Amino acid sequence: MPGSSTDAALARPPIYRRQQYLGLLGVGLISFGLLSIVQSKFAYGLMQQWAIFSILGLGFYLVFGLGGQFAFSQGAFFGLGAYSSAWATRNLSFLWGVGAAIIIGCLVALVFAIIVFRADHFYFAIGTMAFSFIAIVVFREFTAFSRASGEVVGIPKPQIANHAFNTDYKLSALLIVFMLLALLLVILVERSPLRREALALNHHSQVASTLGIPTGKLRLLMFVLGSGFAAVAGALQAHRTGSLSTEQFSVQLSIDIFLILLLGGIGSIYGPLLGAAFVVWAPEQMRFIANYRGIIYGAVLIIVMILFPKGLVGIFEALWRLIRGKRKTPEDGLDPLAFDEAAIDGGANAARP
Amino acid sequence: MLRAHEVSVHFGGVRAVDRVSLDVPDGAAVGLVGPNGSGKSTFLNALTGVVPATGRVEIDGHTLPFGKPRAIRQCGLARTFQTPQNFTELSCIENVLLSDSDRRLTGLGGSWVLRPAMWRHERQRWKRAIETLDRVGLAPLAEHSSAGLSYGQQRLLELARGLIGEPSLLMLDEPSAGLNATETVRLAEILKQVHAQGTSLLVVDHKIDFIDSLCDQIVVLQLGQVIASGSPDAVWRDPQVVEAYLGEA
Repeated sequence: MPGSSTDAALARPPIYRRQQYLGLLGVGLISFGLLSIVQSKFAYGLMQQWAIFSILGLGFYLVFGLGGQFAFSQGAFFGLGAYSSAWATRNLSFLWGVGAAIIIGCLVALVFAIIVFRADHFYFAIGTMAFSFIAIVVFREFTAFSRASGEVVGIPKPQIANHAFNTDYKLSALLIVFMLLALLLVILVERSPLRREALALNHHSQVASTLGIPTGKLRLLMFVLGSGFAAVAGALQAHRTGSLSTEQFSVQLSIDIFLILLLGGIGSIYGPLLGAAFVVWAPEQMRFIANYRGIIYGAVLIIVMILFPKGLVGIFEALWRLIRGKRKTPEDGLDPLAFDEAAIDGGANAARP
Repeated sequence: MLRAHEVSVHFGGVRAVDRVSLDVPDGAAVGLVGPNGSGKSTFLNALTGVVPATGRVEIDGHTLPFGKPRAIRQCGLARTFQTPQNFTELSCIENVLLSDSDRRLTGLGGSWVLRPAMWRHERQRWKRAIETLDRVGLAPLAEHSSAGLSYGQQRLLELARGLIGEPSLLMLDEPSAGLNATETVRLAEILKQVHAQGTSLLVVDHKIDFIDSLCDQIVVLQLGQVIASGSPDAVWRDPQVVEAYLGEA
């Protein structure tokens, strides 16, 4: 066979050959390395927001990157998690608050997904957008434990087994640990049959169903999982800021979540981390241009998307390839955004007839 | 054994398949032929639940649920498509794994909790997938992206995907379309081996030699209706079939 480089007897899905656990270790080392050199309250704030947005982005990676569901509801589940945890921690501890956010977020996501089960593609997207608007109204009007307009104040800082995370350093470290846990859970999904089935669902659900894949169940699962991640991120945000208002969960947040994944790289688990870093860091660097910030920020986004269609993660992949002096491998074509017909057999008749 | 009884498919006012009855006995290879637009692919789509249909389909005495592709696949019916429908973002081995009938621990439980057991099942699935790819000659490309395969290789990959679950009936929709003469002969050889190993075949195709070399029975459709069925020799001598293919003399 032309182009063969694999011992067939030892063959396995190439995703299992990637060193995701080393990647997790690398992300951990970089994160805590950065944390050790950070000095200012402002920088701590950026790191904390990055960790939370990374969890949010990883959740959206499960919903959209793998599951292919164009959902505008991540912001709403972020808010639901925040309010759920704020409500639960009036009497319970921080971890119970996070647990409540997960349970409530996943249950609401499941009920919503069942209701819109038959809606596909754009109809599903519109359904999730409508859900977001409804959620904001509910956050604003449901004042059983919040003030008017959905404001909640005095949410306690995280505390686990008498250990209070009440300094910027400790809080940042805790949020990074949560982010690494979220990344680990996504890696476990990546290194399992669930990934290939979700991608099959994403790219051709009808063909996937003829292969025996439970497409309906899988669609629900990916949506609920991603929404659960968003709820956890929301819970962490609530305890980080100590207060909530409905403005935090506006449509702008849902757009930012899309940007996190698209900018970072939709085909990689590291994409959401890079995208979150950009979304948190870039606007802050443009404060000096005040009135023109929106224009410049938009222009930068367009340029990044044109120059790096695989997202920011594509830059790192190119650099890594350069460092190793390595040509493209057969499995390089496996990225959803990398289509190389000439990889095998010259690709001369790949499009026949 | 597959038994289709008066299967019909309507698209609005158009009756694409009109009360077609057809049997595929255990171990048989049945060819389904007919001019373009005669309803062959639509009939396969109806059997595999891809389009809504009426009538009754039984496999080994069990009635198949129309419109439920997954349930139909679980009953042992596998298929290929007119245009290869591989997942180009996955490797060849992953494409084949998707269709494995052993689906134990492929969900979140296997992913997050029962990983050692998941790995055990997964390794068995890899082994089966490689063996199946080997049957069609694609084992050395197992880890390659399916996006880079030639058209002929894409056909073979889709065939491997149909074979992995050891289906009782494999339905092939124009498997030789777009293949050159050498590739067609190679495909026929592979399918003969598959047939010899006990898998029943229902083959839709336009290449008469290919169908004749493979099938012991042929059913001819025209305008959604069966106009002839029987052995290849008898069918090709049938005046209605001659007229359908060549027009009235």
